[in-house]
Amino acid sequence: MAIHRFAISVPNPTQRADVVELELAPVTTPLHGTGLALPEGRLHVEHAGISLDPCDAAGHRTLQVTLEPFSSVTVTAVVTTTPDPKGGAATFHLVDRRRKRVVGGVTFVCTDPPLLAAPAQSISVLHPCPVTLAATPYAVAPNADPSKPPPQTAVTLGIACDFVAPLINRTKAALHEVQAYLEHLGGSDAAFTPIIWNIGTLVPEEQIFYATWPLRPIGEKTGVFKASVVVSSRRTDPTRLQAPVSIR
Amino acid sequence: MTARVVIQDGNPIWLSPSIIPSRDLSATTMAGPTFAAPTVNSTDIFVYVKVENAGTVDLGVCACTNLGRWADAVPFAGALGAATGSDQNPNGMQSIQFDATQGDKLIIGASSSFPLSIAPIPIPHHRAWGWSPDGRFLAYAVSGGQIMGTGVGATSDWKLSVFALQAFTRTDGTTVAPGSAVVSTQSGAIWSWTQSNFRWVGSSAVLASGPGDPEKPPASANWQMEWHLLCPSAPVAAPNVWSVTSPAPTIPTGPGGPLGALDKWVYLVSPCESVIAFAPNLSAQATAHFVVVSLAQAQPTAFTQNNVSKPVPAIATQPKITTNQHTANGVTIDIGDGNMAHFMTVDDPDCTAVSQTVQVAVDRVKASTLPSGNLGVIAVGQASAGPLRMGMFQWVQVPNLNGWANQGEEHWCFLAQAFTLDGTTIPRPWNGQGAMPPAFPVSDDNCAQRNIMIS
Repeated sequence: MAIHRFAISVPNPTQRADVVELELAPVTTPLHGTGLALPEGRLHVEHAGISLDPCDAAGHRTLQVTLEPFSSVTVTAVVTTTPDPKGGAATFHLVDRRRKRVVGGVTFVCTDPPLLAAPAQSISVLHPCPVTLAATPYAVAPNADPSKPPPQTAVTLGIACDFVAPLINRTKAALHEVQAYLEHLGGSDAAFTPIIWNIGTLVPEEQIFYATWPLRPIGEKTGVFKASVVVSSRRTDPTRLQAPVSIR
Repeated sequence: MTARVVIQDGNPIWLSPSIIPSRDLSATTMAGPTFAAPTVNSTDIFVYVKVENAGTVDLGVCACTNLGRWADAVPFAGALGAATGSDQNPNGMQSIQFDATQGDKLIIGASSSFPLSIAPIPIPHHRAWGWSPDGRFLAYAVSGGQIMGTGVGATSDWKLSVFALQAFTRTDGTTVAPGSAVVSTQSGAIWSWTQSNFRWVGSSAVLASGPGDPEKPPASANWQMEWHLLCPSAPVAAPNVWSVTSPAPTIPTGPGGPLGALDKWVYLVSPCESVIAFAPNLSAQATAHFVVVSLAQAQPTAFTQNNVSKPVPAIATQPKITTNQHTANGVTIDIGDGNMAHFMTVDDPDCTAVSQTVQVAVDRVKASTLPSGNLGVIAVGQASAGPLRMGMFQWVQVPNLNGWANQGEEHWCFLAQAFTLDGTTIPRPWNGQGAMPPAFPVSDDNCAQRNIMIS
């Protein structure tokens, strides 16, 4: 047999004591839309219970606890399943009722074999917007000419600047209704003004639009981060461009 | 018209399908990723949040659809040189009760009365005023006589104020109550004036120009011309009045001489009223540059082309500006001679850049059986959703700024929220980084949660 344990916090964030009725309820319907790739089979559950003792091997389907104001207790849900060579899953809701009303809960899933992390994949675009970066993005002083990269193109911590993404159409036809916006600055803790640029028509090759976003490197992180610039145009899907941003 | 964004709740509520941690690099905002459970050492996991525009207004797009020729600023319609009188706003909702002894008053509704300026108003009781075309403001100028110390009866000074006729909020978030002055200024030199020296720039600013002729610089080099632009929306500290004295905005140069070539300045407002352009009407062969001032900031700005500053020189004799579309290179400028070969295109200053985007913020808390538990709130990150039209959605890629440390607890819960940065269209529902944050409002449409495991 396999024993699955789940420690779950049950809080009382109010200023009066409360009585909590906990119930362990099996989930018999699929968890649609959660993105979880669970094994298809159903594990046989020998026992499922809740206990205040983290080492308890059994517990009960229901548990009543009294919580003082601004306090919490950790309960343990213990599920014992029969090993199955085909594998499978068993899902439970721990339902939290107070004064006869359902006020919350958690869901947990027992799986055999354990869930493996899905490998990373690249999700492609059906109709990618062909706007691309004409050059590696850079920083200029606020309101400076964005078409002239300075000798030092990195962002300096603590000094406001404009982040510049030069955008170009390298196809042979004009693109219309072109838009661009900065989605995020990767793992950087700098702040930016989220401007959407309505570029309109982008003529092939000869025209570069210098999209800028005021950037305030008010955090502490330095390094090279992967910003996400999203471009779109008529009859294409919004497309992410990874844009390196260097902060020193 | 309702602004509403939705992050779909789950069933049960703590399993929103619109919040997905993932290692995937999705090249498009239209497709959702596959689920991945973070570990404490993960460095490659984003949180993708699906945000939908379920309202009746497009978000992150140009809110103004006005196109066409830039309009002239409109001189004040009202003037009075008598002790008493009255005038009513064309919309019938407000009026002015003139009383040179007690002081003029703005009447809003049936009985609310607000003093407009000084009392008593010295002879010849010199005032001018204009109701803004959109009915939100009254602009009022009065000569107090004592401002310049020129004595009773002077008409060579003025105090100009813009009053709110309804509650008004500046771009810096400060508010002005109905009947209160939003912005004021006064003449800084001896100024002879009439109502034509003051004009509404759309409904977004008031321009005082002079003294004397409001458009043509004085012939004598000893006289200077002044411009004062009062911008109600501009931040008070900016300041909200832009003042300049000739030779600025520019000295026209050319065969016509430094001043004589300039027949007059024409004051043109963009269709969505983000800027005013000072357009020089010139004599033959002279040149002078357009001057552009932002009405939201009360600061000079510039025409741009592909977002690069582009000085635009005017030539004789009548320049015109036309907005064709709200995009880069969406504005055509006839620089003065009507010859299309000389026309210039510049970016539309109204809407090439739109700042009002939907933001998505994600925090995480230790999972508990209560969504309001707020146990150990840690910020994950924030990202912009870009343009979001009615009925559309975006999968927003939110980076993780603070790692996946789990503090010894494997069960965590994402709290995701969507809002606009202006604080009014869709206010931010919750600030988990504040002191003692209240319960996360998971019942709000624009809030959702999802339990995850960080192993």
